[in-house]
Amino acid sequence: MNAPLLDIRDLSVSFDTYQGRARVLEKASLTVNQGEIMGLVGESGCGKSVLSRSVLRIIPTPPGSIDGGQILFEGRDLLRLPQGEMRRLRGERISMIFQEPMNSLNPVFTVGNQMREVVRAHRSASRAEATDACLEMLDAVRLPEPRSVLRAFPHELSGGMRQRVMIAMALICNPALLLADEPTTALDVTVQGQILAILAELAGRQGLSILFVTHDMGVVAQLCHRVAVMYAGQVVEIADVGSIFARPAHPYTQGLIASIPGRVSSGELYAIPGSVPSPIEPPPGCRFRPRCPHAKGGGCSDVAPEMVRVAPDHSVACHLFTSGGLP
Amino acid sequence: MRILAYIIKRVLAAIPVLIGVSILTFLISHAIPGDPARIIVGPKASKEAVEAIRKEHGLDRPLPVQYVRYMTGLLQGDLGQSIRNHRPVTKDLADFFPATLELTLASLVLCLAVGIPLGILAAVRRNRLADHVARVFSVIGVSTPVFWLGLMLLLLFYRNLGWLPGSGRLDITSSPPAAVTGLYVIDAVLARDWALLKEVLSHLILPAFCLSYVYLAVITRIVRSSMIAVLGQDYITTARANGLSAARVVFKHAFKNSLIPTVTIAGLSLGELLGGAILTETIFAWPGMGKYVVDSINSLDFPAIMGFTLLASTAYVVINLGVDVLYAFLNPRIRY
Repeated sequence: MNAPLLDIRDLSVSFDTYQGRARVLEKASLTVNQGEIMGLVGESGCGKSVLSRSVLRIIPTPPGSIDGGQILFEGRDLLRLPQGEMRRLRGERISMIFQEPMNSLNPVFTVGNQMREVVRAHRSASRAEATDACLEMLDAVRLPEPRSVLRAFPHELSGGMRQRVMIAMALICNPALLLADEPTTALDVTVQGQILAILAELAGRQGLSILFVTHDMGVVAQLCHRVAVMYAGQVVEIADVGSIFARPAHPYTQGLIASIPGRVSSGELYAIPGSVPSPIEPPPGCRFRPRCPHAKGGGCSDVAPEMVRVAPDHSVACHLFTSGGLP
Repeated sequence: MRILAYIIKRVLAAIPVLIGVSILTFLISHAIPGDPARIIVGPKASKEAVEAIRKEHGLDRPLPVQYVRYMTGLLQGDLGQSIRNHRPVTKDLADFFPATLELTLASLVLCLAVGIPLGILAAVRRNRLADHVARVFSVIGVSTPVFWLGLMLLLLFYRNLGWLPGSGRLDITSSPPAAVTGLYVIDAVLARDWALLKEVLSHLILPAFCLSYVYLAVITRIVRSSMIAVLGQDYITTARANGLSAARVVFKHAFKNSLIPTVTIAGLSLGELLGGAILTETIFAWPGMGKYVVDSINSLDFPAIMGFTLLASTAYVVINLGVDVLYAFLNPRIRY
């Protein structure tokens, strides 16, 4: 098997806050293969957005800082790249789309102005050539009347149209990797379906890899090939999408799956008891222990579990599966 | 085109504002106790002499009649005759207003040319050395009284260092450039008299800085805070994620957005600069409106007071209109 396109190893990121240093990511690891759509799920505040933004090195520093780990992209460690090279990579090889299409486009410039600017930031193109590239891309995301979209200001477009513009803008330089940070969360369900279909189609056509951040297991099932589950700044389980739903190994993943409305027909919605621990003083040992139905003293509260392989394409970080097992 | 219709609408709407201003000013200046005729002839003049003066200036007629007479003259470009010096008020304004306007505009240019870059620098290097320097500079600016600052500037640059002249618009021995606009800087450029331009600028810099410092400080703070707010917006993250250079992100994407609150403050400041020039003009013996207006008020010179007030309110209206039009250019979400 080829080396993965993106290989994040033991990434640790922290933020300075008034209450203290928040360790938002703690040795998080995952890979995204060539042409693969990788889901990254977890509840709000678990660090999934920070992880995807760290890949582009666009977390604000200060207060944030990347404390350790590696982000290997096409064999190079992004964390060691000089600023200039990192800038050239952004939008050209790795692109990103965001949750809020309302605020993600600059309100005082036209769509055309902003799209052409991205093209011309990465290659020397005349205004007309840049416009042609924009029109082609707007067409690819199935926006009707691309010419009038180019002339429009963001506030003149609907949320779905804006998100398509964002996708067109992100893919205009034909990147290898798209980081999608909850791109459908702010959209209504029908528009969400259209956006997912466009992403799936473009990924297939351009050989694009996507790291798809979401908290919606339904979207994961619909779109992704593999999934990484995050909890409190750590990746706790990685598996192909079939295994995650059929045989979730980590107690947290099991809780997530059980929380999907409509899967259990008991009428009452399941919720994982407790709440996410503070990233400033996370519990020692396994971070999920305070909420875990299987937690035991000893190992769970003292030692952070390592990732172990439980099936060919299925790893989990839980003491239920560590080699020594639990007493 | 829509903008043009909007400007016309705003200009028409300014007419009732100005009429209102004229009525108010007229009433207030006539309601002040004191008799301009008595001031003209002096405290020891006879009753007859006072009556004669009153008649001569139309001060014996009822107020509404006086007002209508005044407004009729105004529409013909006649602001009446100064009671104090018997010159047409239009002529006085033409003599004194350009000096004040030049000082005010120079102050505004200083405010923007220094305040905006300083504010941007402070925002981009937030909580670092440049930000602290800008903060100290601003705090000193808003807390220094103008008269004291003026005196200190004179003491340092005129008396001790001898780098800059201390008073007036020109050296006593020089004569002004051919009057085209009445603004010496522009007139000197038009006359291609570079030596004179240098002289004019050297006279302008101290009073302009003295007048602008407070507003310069305010603009620096406004630009800083609006820049910080804008730099935290999602579209700034998008711009960075799309590989735009830091300079483009700051100077194109963030700057235009941060200008919207800045323009508001700059417009207000310009109005206040225009009205606030009196102290500065006094300290630097600047032959502008300030002294003229104070003298007019002291001698209840109605036509002069009216003339100045109308001119100043027209300037306010024009400035406000300018600000509103600028909004439309800066922010496409505003449509009229």
